Amino acid sequence: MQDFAIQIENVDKTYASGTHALKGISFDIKKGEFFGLLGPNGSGKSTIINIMSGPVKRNSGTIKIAGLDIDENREETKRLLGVVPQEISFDSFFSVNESLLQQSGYYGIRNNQGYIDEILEKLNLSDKKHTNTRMLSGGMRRRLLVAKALVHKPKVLVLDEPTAGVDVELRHNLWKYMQKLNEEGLTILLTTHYLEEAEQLCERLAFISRGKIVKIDTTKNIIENDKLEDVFIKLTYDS
Amino acid sequence: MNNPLGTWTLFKRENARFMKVYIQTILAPVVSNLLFLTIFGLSLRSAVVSIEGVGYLEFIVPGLILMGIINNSYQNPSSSLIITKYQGRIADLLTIPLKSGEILLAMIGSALLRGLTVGLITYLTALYFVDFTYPSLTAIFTGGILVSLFFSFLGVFMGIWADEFDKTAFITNFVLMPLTFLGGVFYPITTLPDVFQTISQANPIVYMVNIFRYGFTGIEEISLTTSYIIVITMVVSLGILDYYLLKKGWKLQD
Ligand SMILES: Nc1ncnc2c1ncn2[C@@H]1O[C@H](COP(=O)(O)OP(=O)(O)OP(=O)(O)O)[C@@H](O)[C@H]1O
Ligand SMILES: [Mg+2]
Repeated sequence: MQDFAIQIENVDKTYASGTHALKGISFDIKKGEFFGLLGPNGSGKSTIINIMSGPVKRNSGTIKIAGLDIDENREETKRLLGVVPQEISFDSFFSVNESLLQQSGYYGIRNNQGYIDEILEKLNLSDKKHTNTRMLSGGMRRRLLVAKALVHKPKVLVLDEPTAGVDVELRHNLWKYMQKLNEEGLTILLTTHYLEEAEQLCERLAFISRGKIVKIDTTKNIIENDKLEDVFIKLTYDS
Repeated sequence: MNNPLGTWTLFKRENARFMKVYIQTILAPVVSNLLFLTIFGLSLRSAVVSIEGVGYLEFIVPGLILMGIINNSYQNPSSSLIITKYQGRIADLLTIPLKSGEILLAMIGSALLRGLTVGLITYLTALYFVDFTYPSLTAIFTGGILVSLFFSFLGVFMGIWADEFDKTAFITNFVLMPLTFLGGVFYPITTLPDVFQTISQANPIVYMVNIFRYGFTGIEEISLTTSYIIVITMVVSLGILDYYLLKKGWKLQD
């Protein structure tokens, strides 16, 4: 049991609007794994992530983070997670550094300026340290979201389209950094619409379509005979 | 407590929010109270000779202080939560490892700080116009804190419930303002015709004003015991309601 970072069992979600976003989703992610969740727009990727992290309530099913049930251990499991949400939003009163110190504070951590500097350096944001978050470009904001997700040294990093709007060079930097973090033991769940990103980074992939997992396998097996793009289209648009 | 430093961080964040715009959040209410004081107080001072042996200024100042406390305790959490919704940051609040009680504590703490600060500054400026005899400091402190607590809790409730500023503005203008003005801030309830006196009994602010003003003037329009029982019951009920709604994620979680 202790070998799993995330266990999702039979999770079902219907929003108040009536949208049946998740139809009995189940999958596990092993500790230390780099796992990709792929699916078209509106297939339910963010819904799963938001249920794990807090903003969305599920109707049924169970979720465990590092073996802990998220209902019974809500605060503890929140501490284990670092989440990069799909929506970009910042407290517009603060600078990059202030917002990272504040984020650390929310997780009960202080005096971690050294670690914050290190993260900023890795994410090419050092020169924006004292810039107000309102004055960052779209790609910089996306990278700041990644920084915010890392300040409390989570065990599981959940990335909901972290590279959307980030330019090619910085995207490659971000990949390298994520790979390094993963090699150091961090479990990563990544959603993305850049298939080559998933192919390069993820050991295992799950495909979701209209609220159902339609395939889970190692990246190696999946691309053995077909290009990932063809597999994706076949799996998610055929049904 | 699960996360004291996290709670403290949120409290500081809430304070930073209103302090960055202190002209609007602290100075403006103090100035408008001073205007009330000058206009009503000084102009009516000669017309209304005294109320139960207390000068008119001495009578309305506690009411004005209370208005400052009420408005600002209410505004702080309600506008903070609504702006948070507007900016799409409610998800952040729901993702950080704070318990509902801790979020509530941080928001209420900051609302008390702002409400009581405005109250204190209004009081200090009023000292220029009036001398008080302070029959009961206990009533002043407990009254002030209870009122601030009640309206902080109300502000949290409104912030959770409303998704637009329109809705809180509606409540402010059509519920809160009339209740405050009809709550005996500017006149003694006992001077009203019988019908209105009866209606006033349903206005929670009447009991709050009664306790607080008693502390400054010794005038007890309604029994103090009754007032305390009613006000404390309301504060506790509203606090529990807020806590429960936050825990359930009502209107916040999808
Ligand atoms: N807050 C919400 N209220 C109501 N319906 C929602 C809400 N969020 C998402 N949905 C609906 O649930 C379904 C799944 O949405 P979700 O955001 O999980 O998709 P996604 O896979 O993340 O898509 P994308 O790739 O575009 O980010 C969609 O039909 C969407 O319209
Ligand atoms: Mg999404």
